[in-house]
Amino acid sequence: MAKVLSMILAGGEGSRLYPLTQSRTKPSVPFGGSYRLIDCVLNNFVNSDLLRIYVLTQFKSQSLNDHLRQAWEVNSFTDTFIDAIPAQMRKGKHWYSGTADAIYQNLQFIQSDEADTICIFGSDHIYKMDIRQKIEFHKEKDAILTVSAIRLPKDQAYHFGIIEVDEEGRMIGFAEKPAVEDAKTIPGDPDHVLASMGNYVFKSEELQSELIRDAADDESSHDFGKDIIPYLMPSGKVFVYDFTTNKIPNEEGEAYWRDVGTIESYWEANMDLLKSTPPISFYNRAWPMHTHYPPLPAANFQNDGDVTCTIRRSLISDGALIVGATIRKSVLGFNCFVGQGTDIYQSVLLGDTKIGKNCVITKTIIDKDVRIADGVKIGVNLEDDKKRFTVSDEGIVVIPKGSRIGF
Amino acid sequence: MAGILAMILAGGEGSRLFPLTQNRSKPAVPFGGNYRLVDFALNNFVNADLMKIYVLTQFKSQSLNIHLRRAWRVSNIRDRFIEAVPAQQRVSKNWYSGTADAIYQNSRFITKNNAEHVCIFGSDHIYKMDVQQMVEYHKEMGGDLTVAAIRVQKEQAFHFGIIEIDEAGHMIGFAEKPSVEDAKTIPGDPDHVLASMGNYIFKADTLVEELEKDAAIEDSSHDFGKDIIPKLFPQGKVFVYDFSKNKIPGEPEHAYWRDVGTIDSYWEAHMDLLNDNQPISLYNKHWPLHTYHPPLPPATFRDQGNSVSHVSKSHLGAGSYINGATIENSILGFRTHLCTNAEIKGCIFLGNAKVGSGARLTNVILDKNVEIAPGMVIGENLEEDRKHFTVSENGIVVIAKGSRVGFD
Repeated sequence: MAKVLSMILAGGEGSRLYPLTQSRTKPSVPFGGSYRLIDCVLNNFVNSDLLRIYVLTQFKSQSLNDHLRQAWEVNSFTDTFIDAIPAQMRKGKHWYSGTADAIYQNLQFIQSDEADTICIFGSDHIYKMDIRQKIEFHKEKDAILTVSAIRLPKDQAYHFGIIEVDEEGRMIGFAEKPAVEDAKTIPGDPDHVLASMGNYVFKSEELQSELIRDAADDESSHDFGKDIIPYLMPSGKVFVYDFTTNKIPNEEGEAYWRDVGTIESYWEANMDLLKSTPPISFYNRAWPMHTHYPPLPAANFQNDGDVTCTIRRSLISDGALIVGATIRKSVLGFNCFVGQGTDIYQSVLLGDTKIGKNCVITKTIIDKDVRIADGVKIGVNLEDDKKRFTVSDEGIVVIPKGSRIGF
Repeated sequence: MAGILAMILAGGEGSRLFPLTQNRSKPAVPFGGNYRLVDFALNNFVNADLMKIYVLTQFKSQSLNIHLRRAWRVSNIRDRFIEAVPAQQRVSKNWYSGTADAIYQNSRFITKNNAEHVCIFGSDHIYKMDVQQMVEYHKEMGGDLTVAAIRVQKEQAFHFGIIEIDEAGHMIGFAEKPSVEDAKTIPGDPDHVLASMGNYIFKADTLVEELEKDAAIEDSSHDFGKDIIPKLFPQGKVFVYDFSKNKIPGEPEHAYWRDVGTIDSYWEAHMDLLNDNQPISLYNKHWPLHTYHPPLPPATFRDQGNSVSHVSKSHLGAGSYINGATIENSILGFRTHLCTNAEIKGCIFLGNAKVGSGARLTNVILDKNVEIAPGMVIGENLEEDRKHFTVSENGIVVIAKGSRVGFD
């Protein structure tokens, strides 16, 4: 395989995930019990044997830096690394103004590298992709740029950036969140459209010259989707990689890719893990999901007198202590304590949290380091909850990090 | 702390733990869901910030080596290390003939590291000790050797090596498994005796000298307990460190220390973890227990139809997959897969087990990679179980690594 250098955009503020992003950048938001959002893309690279990775950080990155150091330190005498690069104002006293500017400000890392292929990926989507297969497609087409896209039913087009392709897979048009009737379907498949996943593979030299050109353009917003791709597309050298053709060993069924940019979609994606046939699971031995495991014992279930723990469709992480409680359709991160008689339903606990006795917690996301007193009810009366907490339009209650409730 | 070197004896064959030691040395036997026995000794050093550690291996050490590499690799900044040292036949063409011989054959590491004091610890006991505190006591007393000992009831003396001390803490006698009436109690405490924990801190010079002398004695068994210590203590420079003085924040009042050398003691130590009084817990944020975690998602509970999982007094490792099963008083390690209506009671799973639907297991230890067919019943008819499996004195059934049980 050709020499590949990867740059992961991990600067996202994630304001629509507030308050989960109050004290951390979006890629470091916990997910699925033991993971952080960024683990998905990093596992995609690591499991593809692509281990030369810069992670570009900017916004509230301390939590992300800790995670990268604890979970993703590549200890090797060969030329492999996963290095965090904070925004350094190398090209002037300003923060990154767009995705392309983030790469431009770190252009020297590309210029000084022998790689002929540069991967530029986001870090806040839930999916599994063997990136080698995408690079092979890119080489085969001799593309300057290859954009990943997922096949979606036409009627969802208005949520996404929709790419128009010709029969050879060449990109010939793009529309941001088009109306369903305007959305260009896939040649030969009038029911589906291709939605951009925001993941790019570039030829190194062309990327460099394009970034330099764009940086000098005062009118540009310095964004790959808005500026770079529309400029390159007419060359006929921008191709679209159909994500549904990507095969992960031991995995069948429809390709899964979720943007978890809102409280609702974040909650939904957690619930997806609990379905009886989950559309995505982190179990595959042929595609292990690495992350940081704090030094904790296995999940511990105790009785309250004769009352045992009743558990349905849930994920429960190490360090848990569950005492005669009922947990249904919920995801519990590391180090969760749940007291006697408490009932947790359709909820996501990010970890390091203690919930007292006889509480009822329904459809609630509880950020880290939260303490809830005995007998507290959350998610039962949304009118009340709205007075105290963030409640999403769909009725999901979010308890911010470090909250003390009912004391 | 400068000048302190640790040498951990990890060569044990552990034959009384058979078949758990069929493929691995005793220190590599899994324990408590996430751990291996050796993790306890290593955490005692690492949490005490003593990080110059050699782990001396010998018997079937591959599994232990992999564990050390994955879980215990220390950044090589500063002179910290945790290094496995296989038996290398450097001194002669012999395997280690006793605990003292194991150190003697590696005594060059003591000189090489300019050690002032050497901690020689076993690796097959369950306990938490801030080794730093024992080092301080050793330095304070200024002896050649300090032996760690735990206070136990006089009636239990016949299980242990019992140390006799004078009022200043000098060791003045030793008896291996004495009868209760012969056991020497602690001065001022006629109900208790001091049992040796097999953990030693030596002055480095004395250690090297004594090992050389001992190596030259042909009829020595080259064992610390039998040969080295009996020669040293009459000189008045061997002290005994009372383990009950060792204090770790967040730990219970009564010191816990268990030899898990037999199937029954191994099983009982697991049940201690589930005891309401928690004589030992694996959870203390002031004393984190490090180990290797494979890349696995959290324990996952699913259900088919309306089946629900009932769990009481149990631990469940990451990567487990529980599909409407009942679990009681059990410690189930990584990747436990239980199918619908399986009933697991009083069991220990070492990891990667699959139990078919409707199977009932009572007081069973499953080594790794075991698969049990649907509907199998194990542990209810021990006569029958003895025909197929190892069954301990107390009736614990042990199913060997890689077994497939109940399939045609």
